[in-house]
Amino acid sequence: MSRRLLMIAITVFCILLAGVFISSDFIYRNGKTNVNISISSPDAYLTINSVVVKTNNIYLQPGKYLISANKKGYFENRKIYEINEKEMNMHLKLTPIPDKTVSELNFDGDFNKLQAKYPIIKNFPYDAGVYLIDYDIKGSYLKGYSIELLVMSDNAIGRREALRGIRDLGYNPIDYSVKFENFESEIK
Amino acid sequence: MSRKIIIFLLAVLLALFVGINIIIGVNSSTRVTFTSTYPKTSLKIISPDGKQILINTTQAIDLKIGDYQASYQNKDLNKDSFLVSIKKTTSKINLDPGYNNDLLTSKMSVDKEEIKGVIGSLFKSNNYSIGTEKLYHKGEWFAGSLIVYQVNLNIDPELGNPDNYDIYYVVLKKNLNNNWDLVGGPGLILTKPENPSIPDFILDDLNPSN
Repeated sequence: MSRRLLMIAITVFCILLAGVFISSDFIYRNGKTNVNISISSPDAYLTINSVVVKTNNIYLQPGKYLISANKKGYFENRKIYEINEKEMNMHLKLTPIPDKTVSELNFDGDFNKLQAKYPIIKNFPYDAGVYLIDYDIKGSYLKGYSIELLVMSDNAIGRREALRGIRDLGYNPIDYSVKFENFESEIK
Repeated sequence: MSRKIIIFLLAVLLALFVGINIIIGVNSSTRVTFTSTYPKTSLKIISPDGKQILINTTQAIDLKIGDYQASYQNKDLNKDSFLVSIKKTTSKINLDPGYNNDLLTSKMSVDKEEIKGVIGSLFKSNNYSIGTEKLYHKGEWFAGSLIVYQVNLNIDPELGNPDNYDIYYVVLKKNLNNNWDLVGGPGLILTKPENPSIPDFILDDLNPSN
């Protein structure tokens, strides 16, 4: 094979490759408007028509779009925007959600989430006679809620049986914070 | 089209095919360096397709992406197998092997008196006996259970009544001065959320499972 033929082949290949890249970029941008979106808070994520978009510099066909910025601990900034043929810059501001303490816990929404995270609490209060197990909710909306298991028994058998009882319910007590109430410890 | 051009085009196609395969092959493996906290660690890994590879630490090796079963080969190390997961982004694996049970048991006999001294200082009375006691990892962790009686061992006739004792759990760790510090408990249970500094495998082993 002659050297000339090889050079031609390489050149043709390179031209073809460049052509594919240029034409695909042209096809992608053709008839679209460049939209720059900035969000007031870092680490927020952007969705356009409910699809997560990873870049803030995008090309969109003129039309109406539902654009939203989201971040945990902030109210969602969600609005319908009309994109025309002129390049557009938009700034989405996120407002922090005020924190909620345990006493403000919303029993329809927050509590259901807590129950989904800690299904063990569906079993409580659990009164086995020799012991009683209940739970306490700790934390806050922004830090996240967690639970503490409360074991109540006035004797050692009850305390040991309570831990076994949690295992019998299908949960490992070492995965939870556990507090023994009405118990005088032998620790100094 | 001349025969020469047909042959040339076939050659280009073949080169493309080979090239694509090389790219796929390069992308499905990655160069990994193993380091270890134990000198001259020897590790046997078994690939998903059953191929055995012997690795010495500080050695860089090309491994296919996937999950490998691994086990240490050095005589002092715990030989239980564990999973080594190789991803495209994996470039370094830091190994931290623990000693085998025989070595940990012999180390326990050296540290036992000091450990007993630390435990003895924790309780109101000496009405307790040690239930389980064990060293972990390279012997720098101790975990044990203590049966603590609420009555005087010597005079109470109801000692056999199981209601008279609680089982406490305790975890100690050897500090840089080679002394033992209390890091967990004593408590009727040592839980993971309340003891984040203690490795899970120690808490799993220490607390009763039934």
